[in-house]
Amino acid sequence: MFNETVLKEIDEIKGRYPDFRSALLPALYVAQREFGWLSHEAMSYVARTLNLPEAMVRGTASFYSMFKHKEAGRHLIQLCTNVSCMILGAERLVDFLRTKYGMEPDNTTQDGRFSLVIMECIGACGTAPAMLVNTDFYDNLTEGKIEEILDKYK
Amino acid sequence: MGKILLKNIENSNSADINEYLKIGGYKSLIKAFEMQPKDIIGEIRESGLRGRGGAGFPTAMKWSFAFADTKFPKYLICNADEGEPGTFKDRPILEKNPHLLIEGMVISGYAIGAEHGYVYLRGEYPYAKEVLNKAIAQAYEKNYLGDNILGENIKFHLTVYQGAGAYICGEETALIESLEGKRGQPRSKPPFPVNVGAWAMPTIINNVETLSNIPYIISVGGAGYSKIGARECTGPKLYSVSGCVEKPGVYELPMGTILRDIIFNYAGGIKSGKKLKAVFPGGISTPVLPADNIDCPMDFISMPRFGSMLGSGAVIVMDESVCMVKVAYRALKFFEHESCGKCTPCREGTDWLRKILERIECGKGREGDIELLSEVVDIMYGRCFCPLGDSAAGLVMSMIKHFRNEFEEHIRDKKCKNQK
Amino acid sequence: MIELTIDGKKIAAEKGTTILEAARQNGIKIPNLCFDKRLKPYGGCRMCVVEIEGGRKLASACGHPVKAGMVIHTNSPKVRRVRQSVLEFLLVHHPLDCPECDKAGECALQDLVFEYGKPETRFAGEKKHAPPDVRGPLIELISNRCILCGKCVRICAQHQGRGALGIIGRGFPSVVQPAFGEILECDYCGQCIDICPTGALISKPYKYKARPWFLEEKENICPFCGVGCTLTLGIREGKILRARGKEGVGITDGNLCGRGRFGFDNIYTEKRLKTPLIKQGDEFRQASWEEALTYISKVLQAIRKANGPDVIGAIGSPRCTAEDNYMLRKFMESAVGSKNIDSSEALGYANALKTYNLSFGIKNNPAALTSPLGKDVVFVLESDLSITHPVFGLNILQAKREGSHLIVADYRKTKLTKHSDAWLNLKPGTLVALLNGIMKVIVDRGLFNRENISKIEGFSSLEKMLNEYTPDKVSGIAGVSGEALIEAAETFAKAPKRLLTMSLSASENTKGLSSALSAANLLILLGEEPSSLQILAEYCNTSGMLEAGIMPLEDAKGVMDMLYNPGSLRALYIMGEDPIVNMPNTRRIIETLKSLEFLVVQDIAMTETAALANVILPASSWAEKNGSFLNSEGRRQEIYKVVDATGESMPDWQILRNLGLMIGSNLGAKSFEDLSKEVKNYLSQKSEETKKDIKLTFHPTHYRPEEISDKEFTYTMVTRDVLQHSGIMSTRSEALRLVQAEPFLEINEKDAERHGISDGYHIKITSRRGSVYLKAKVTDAVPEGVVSTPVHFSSGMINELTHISPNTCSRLDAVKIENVQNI
Repeated sequence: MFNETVLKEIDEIKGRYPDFRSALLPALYVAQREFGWLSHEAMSYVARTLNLPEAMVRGTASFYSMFKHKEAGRHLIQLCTNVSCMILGAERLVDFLRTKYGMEPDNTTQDGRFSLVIMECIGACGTAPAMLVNTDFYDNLTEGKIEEILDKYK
Repeated sequence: MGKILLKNIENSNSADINEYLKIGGYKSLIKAFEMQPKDIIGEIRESGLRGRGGAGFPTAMKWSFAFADTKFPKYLICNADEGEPGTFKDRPILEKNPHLLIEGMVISGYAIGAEHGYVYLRGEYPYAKEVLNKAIAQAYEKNYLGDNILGENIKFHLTVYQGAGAYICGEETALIESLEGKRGQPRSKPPFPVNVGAWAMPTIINNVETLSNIPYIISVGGAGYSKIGARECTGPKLYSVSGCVEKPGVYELPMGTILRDIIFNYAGGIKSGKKLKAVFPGGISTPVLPADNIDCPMDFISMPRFGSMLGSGAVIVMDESVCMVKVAYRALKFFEHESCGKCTPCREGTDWLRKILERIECGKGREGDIELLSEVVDIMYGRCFCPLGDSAAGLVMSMIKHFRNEFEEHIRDKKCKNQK
Repeated sequence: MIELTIDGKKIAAEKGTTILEAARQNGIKIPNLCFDKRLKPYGGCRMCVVEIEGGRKLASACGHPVKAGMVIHTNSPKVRRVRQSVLEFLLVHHPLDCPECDKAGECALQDLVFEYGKPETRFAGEKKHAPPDVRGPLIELISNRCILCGKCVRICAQHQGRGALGIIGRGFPSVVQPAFGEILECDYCGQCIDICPTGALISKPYKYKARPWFLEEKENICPFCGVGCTLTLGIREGKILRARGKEGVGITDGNLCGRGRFGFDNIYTEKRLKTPLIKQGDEFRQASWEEALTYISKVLQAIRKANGPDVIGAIGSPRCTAEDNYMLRKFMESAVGSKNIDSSEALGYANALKTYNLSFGIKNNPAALTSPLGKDVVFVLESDLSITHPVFGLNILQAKREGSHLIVADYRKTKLTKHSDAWLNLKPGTLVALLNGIMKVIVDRGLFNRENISKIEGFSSLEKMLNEYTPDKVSGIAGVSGEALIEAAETFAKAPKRLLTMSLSASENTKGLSSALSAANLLILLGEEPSSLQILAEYCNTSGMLEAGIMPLEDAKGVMDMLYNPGSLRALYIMGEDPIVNMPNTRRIIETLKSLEFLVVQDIAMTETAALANVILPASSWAEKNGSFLNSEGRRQEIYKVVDATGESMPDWQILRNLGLMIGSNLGAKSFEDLSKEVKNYLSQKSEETKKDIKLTFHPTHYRPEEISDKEFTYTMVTRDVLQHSGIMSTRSEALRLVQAEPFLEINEKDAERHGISDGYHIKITSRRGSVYLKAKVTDAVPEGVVSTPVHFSSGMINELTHISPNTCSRLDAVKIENVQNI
């Protein structure tokens, strides 16, 4: 179960909205932060804390693509391949991540270092292609630049 | 036209409240508090401001519906779920000019009688969240937010709500569902959010850019504002230009600026001297325009005459090397991924369109596939619950209309000629 | 009213009506797959689209309100084309396994395809092929057949207040599933089965049993609780194969709970009695009706001759029809000459009648199932109405959804506390103190009309008594904070329209006469009508039995004598009741029954009590006879013989008539029609008598604690009902046993930890009267220091532990528990 600090945090979130159910998305974020991803257990804790049915919690969590339902590697790479990024070669970068690092979309590398997720637009179309590594933002990507960047994430 | 929405953003510290105050920030708020709410709405009406989210609905009309509703509390929601591919216009406001938005929201809240505002921010903007939260804290500190703003008996609180990756939540009723902690599936309308919105109370939902126009309108008055831009579509507009141009980026220009001008003048023309092939003028939800149809004024009224829409003003430029089948396929992959699944035509139709486009793109297209695409489009168009399905159908329709030959080539040659 | 035109027909509809509803009211059917009137319009399936003249797009009729002057086409070529394409899309994935699908023949999708479908499709793709989810005990989920209308998810979450199912995922790959592959928070009501437009959710007990077109459907009233829903029974070759609810049918409009839907198979138990049985030595032997009735008549006459009629008594049954109970009373009065007649309700609903009489001066105060709707505050008094009266519970939830403020006083977590605005988490059995505390706040704060109310008899003694119930003191007794108490009192007193509601039944040991009297005091204090007090009668015919006169008369013996006082009687005739399992203090009852010279038990199945009888008579079950039940509203609803009698069993009334004749007393009732007429007359006469002027009286009642836990008996034991069962009858249902087949003891997580108890561990539980063994259910639903158990199961014999008490506040038992898992 969540520790006292987290329970207090969720309680505080509940107070920001006229109805406590609004705290569900924020609470799922908190659970994801605490456990790294949303395991069944983590979602059960959220359900219990917010007094909501588990199927409702799972149904809601599964609707949003930023909630992770699989354990991720140490670093989560979210690369956009939507139209603006695609036009400027984002798909080549996916191939590069595949061949150079052994990454597959929606999978984690064998050493557990990277997980790759193909993102829909992340609003960096003007500096495409772009990606997020964890919450760090990188744009104007090239193969060389990606190599440099990923060196920082061990 | 000087910059209004992106004023001062080259200042690396522009998000700080003190910098904002230095350039006259929060003065409109003080002025607004001296006005009656209905007079504020009057100024907005005179300004001719239309919502910048995509539909271009007159802002004052929306506000007056909520204003007239006698239920309380009322809520103000800022739609910062900027998810339309190609769109990144709200981002500089959120990251560099957050106080403009906050000021706009406090004034709007005062005008419609809302004491609580929420910024529904897309989950993919973690940095904007940080900036916004810091700015909100500063605004509370300086008493521009709180229970007695500037010592007046005016209350407004502001909370940032982080979305979690669902394009559909840009649709206002889906956004409300999401804000209520539910799956972001659009609601039936009527009732409309202005009467039965968040938590079943009257709710105004405006785009970031729309709300950021409010302080300027108060400052110069509705009439002064309406001098900017086109006749029925007034004010400054943020155009986000991406794709095959020399200088992609966000451009603040008068509403109604000619698309050709935006691409060739402001954005520096086509990259590497290539030829222009096609443009999405307002994100991929707006029908594609071929290169010979770009002399259109980019505003809500004019664009339909040219067979497209202004949408979010996200100009995606494609040069001659771009395969339109591939673009259509990628776009449909997006729409299928983002379809909420509530209504049959969109849930099933986006899947079918994607499947057919995928096989055409991969060289497995069949005789009759183009007709099949048209038939699916026909089933979907105008029959989906919300605009998402219609957009997907509209995109395919426009692609076939203007680039049918590319689809035929793919099917005939059993490959994409851009592929190795 | 708004005028508009649909399909060329000019019609009028209320403002706010949807197009779909307006069309329906005027006999125009608009097809749909995701609409149900109990749910908010969804608009997902797109089947109900209609053309509105002048409209830009087609509108979905389910969510679109009518407007004056609208001209609507519900079946234009354009509209038909859309419906056709929607179905075409759905059929891409929907398996064409209709030949083996239970729903085929009554499937909405199948019917619509028949009407709109096209022979060929333009889209050929892979069918979905997920394995069916068969893990649930009663409901199977075949997601390949699912068309994602979401009705099951919505009926469960919105209407049932549960949320056992969710739509998981987004868009095209979404599926309907329970939480994490596990079925949690399911009521097993099966409403999802009825609402599913395809065969994606099916009843497991009914699976592959019959094609719908071979079923004969007959309506009958549910034999379980006091709500009185109508079951639509599917019968083939003389056997009931299923029960379902149908919109528009019965007083609850097709809503059913799991007991009603699945529990009918109790009549097919192997314990059913097929012939009369006479005890010979320690064994029973089969006997003919003639032999058995002759024997009984001889013995009863002999006893009467030797000791007079006053040593003979009878127990009636809230499960039997009004006619059966009426005949029992007539038999006792005319053939035997005794007034000793009573029932288990003496410990339950009879206390409600007593309260109406004492507090309001009226004989009865029938409940109204829709009473919670439209109330500003609904206050539930230590009652789990969603379990005892599930479909009434739905109305409480509906009231809450429509804006009522819901206050629930309960010692444990229940579905109602989960949905409440305020949960007064009191200690079990302290309701009287809590209500007195609330009255004290109301009096002190002047939240009542003193001028009028103080004139009512008993006011000054009430006011005086309330001095002992300050918020502080009540907080100490009931464990509810003073602030919460004051808030509840203020909210309740200030509400323009309010309701108090509770159950009073023999199987609950937390309440008694005083609980109902205190509730009545509170309402009188606030100037309320008696109808603001809703006490729901427990069983299908509790009201009918009491109305038929099965309650002790003055100078006659009641259950306290007949069942708890050895030697008080020499002969006892028990109809349709199993006191040994069903009533408190088993040992005392057995002792009393053993002291009898002669015991006759007449029942549908073998029971613990019947085992002690000298003669057992086989009665026909509710589905095998005609008669009537009076539900908790006092509404008389007829039941019908829909299947043949089991073995040689006979309707109870007929047995009694025949026995009367043997004794030499003609009780009339030549035919059922005769009897029915006689009973109808009798009941309408009684209801005339009931219409009397109200006379209000305060009956101040002090809180008295019952058995207090001490060093040895450290826990308080609460007895209650479980959702799947109603009395002991349902425990003979194979289907319901799949969910709950055995008794259990709920114990708080922390207490369990202290004893080293895990879920399913064997526990020995001992009260001052005896010990039983139960399996543990570790939960956070009950508080520390409290254990809770249902009494339905004859294998549990919980009533070995319980007692009868003169205390009218509660009959709580102090117990100790031992972990005997490894012994």
